[in-house]
Amino acid sequence: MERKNLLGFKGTGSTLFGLTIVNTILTVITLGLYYPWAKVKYLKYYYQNFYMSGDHFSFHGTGKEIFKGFIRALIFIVAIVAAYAIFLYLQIPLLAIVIYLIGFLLLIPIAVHGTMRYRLAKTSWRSIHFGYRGDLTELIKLYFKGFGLTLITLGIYGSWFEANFRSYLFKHIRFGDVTLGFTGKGEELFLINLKGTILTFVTLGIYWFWYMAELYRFYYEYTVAEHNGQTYQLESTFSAGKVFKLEVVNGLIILFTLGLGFAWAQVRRMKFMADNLIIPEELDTDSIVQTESDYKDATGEGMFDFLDFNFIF
Amino acid sequence: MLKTEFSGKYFNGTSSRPYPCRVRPGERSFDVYLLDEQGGETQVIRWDVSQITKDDIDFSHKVRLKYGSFPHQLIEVEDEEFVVALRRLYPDRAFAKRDMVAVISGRRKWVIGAFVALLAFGVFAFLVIVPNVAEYAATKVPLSVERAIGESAYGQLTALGREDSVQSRLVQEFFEAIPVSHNYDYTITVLDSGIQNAFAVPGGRIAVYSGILDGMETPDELVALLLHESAHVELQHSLKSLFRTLSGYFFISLLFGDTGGITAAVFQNIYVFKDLQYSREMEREADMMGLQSMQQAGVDPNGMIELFRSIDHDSLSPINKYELSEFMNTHPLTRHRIRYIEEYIAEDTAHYAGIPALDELFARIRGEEE
Repeated sequence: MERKNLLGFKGTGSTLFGLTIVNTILTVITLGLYYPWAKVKYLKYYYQNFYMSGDHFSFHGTGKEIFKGFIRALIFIVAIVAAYAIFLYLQIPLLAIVIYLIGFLLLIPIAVHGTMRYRLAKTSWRSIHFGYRGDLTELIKLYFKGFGLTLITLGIYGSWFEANFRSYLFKHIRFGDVTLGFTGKGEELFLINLKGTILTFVTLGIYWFWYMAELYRFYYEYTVAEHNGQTYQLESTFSAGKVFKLEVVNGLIILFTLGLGFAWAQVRRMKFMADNLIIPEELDTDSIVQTESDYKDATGEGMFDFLDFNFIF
Repeated sequence: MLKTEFSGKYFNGTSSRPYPCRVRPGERSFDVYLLDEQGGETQVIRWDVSQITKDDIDFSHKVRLKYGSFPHQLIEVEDEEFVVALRRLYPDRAFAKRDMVAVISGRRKWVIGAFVALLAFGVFAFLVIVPNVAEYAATKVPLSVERAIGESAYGQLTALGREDSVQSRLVQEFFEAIPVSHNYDYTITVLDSGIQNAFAVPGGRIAVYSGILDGMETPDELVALLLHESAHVELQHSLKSLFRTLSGYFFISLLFGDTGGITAAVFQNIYVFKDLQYSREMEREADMMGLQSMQQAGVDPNGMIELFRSIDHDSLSPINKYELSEFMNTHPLTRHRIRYIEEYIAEDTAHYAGIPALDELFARIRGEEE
């Protein structure tokens, strides 16, 4: 039986293109200062065009908050570099390098934590706010352990690291009284990656579309939502054919417009995500209750940008 | 008649349950009437105008307003007249104002116009601005750099033939005996090979294959060949061509982020095609400059035509991609070249007596020493 899809993306490429032009012009004439405000407009565009059960999401963040976050991230980075320079000047190079490495390694979990806290607190649907209740110290420990083991195992542990990290983040996401979760296991991701890499190589890239479809399924079909004691598993309809159509047509759009068609390509990508993700109908989206409180710290948001760090969401 | 009541949705801020509602915006407050399934009013909620805010920006006519402190109540109305009513009733309230960035972004005609204009500009930049700026930059390259580029290209090209040092010296002498002044110092090398061709690299190095020398009957042909090649150097053809190509790749990688992949491959081929056309123009320029130099030197420009005729076209083959100023191309092109050269010479009524020094050197090059 065909399932009714509760999600949808209704944005148009033309609006996104227009927004990019206006944002770019304003960012250029303000020598970059407008960027946080431009970013807010992009986020609002994506949120307001993303629908669930007929209602769109809202983003409540402001340019000022993101600007402040950016400044704080900058201070943190400058502090690391300054500490490095000072110890180098004092002729303690080993300590300088250790501080430098640890500082920049810390930056990632801090950025992820901050972004999750800020971004989710500023996201709502039908006035019900999202929230992130993860603990920064735990995330840092998880990150250092994962990073260390990945390094020691020459990357093999990377799949477990990714699955564990995602699992930690998801289980601390609240959407009103709905709790999310991620139940994907490292061993399965490892096998997908191993098979994907080998077959993509052997088939001269053709298998890549199947590999991507498997990754999408892995990331989304193991996402769960818990509500009123019931657990609902996300479903999806990602397939190699759909990935192929998305990527090839997007490539052609970009190619024949000298890159200017990026907005239309991006909208196709958003539609691809929304159309292939299926929230089980049994999850009653009309009875979610507000639980989260307001939140204002934007450090992570800015740091997120500064590192250009991105994870599939 | 102005509308005073609008249908929409209401959310109470504590649950995700939607309530159909009617909104009546008044001077000081909004009255929100919640409706039951039959459309009957069940409850009235009064919103004080001073506590209404708006987070969404205006990509469409849908208006979502929120009320009070956290957790916020919401109303959502999708009605163009509602937008107008808000602006009329509350001209000073932030929630009635439209976000200009979003409004402009939503103007389809403007956006499509901007898209077409940018695309046209992009194509123009790619085909005209970038190559011309690059060509101008090529003329500003210091001589030492030009020589270094030429030497590196030359090193790769000469892997294909062995130098004939005796012939090289003779052709060098021959070239110097042509009474024409140049901006560059030339070094001429004869390469031992049956190929009927010659090429010049930036900075003043000219290579001539012995195959083309063997087919020559008059010194005028050799003058034509050498002056054609030196014209390429004087006009900095190879350097300009190199700069054009590199700037094209640079432009592509700026646009697409990398030079690998399908995108880059497609655009590189467009460039190769453009280069082909461009190199025909350069050949014509070099032919013309060569002809003028021949006249200046007192050598019969008909030597150029004789040169073309003496070449066995079937033996021609492109040598490799570094040979930016290949002397010959394909048959129809040669016919075309002969035609415009003939047209040029037809206007020349001067009588050329020949230069004895060149005759003598040419005989030695041909191995016809007495």
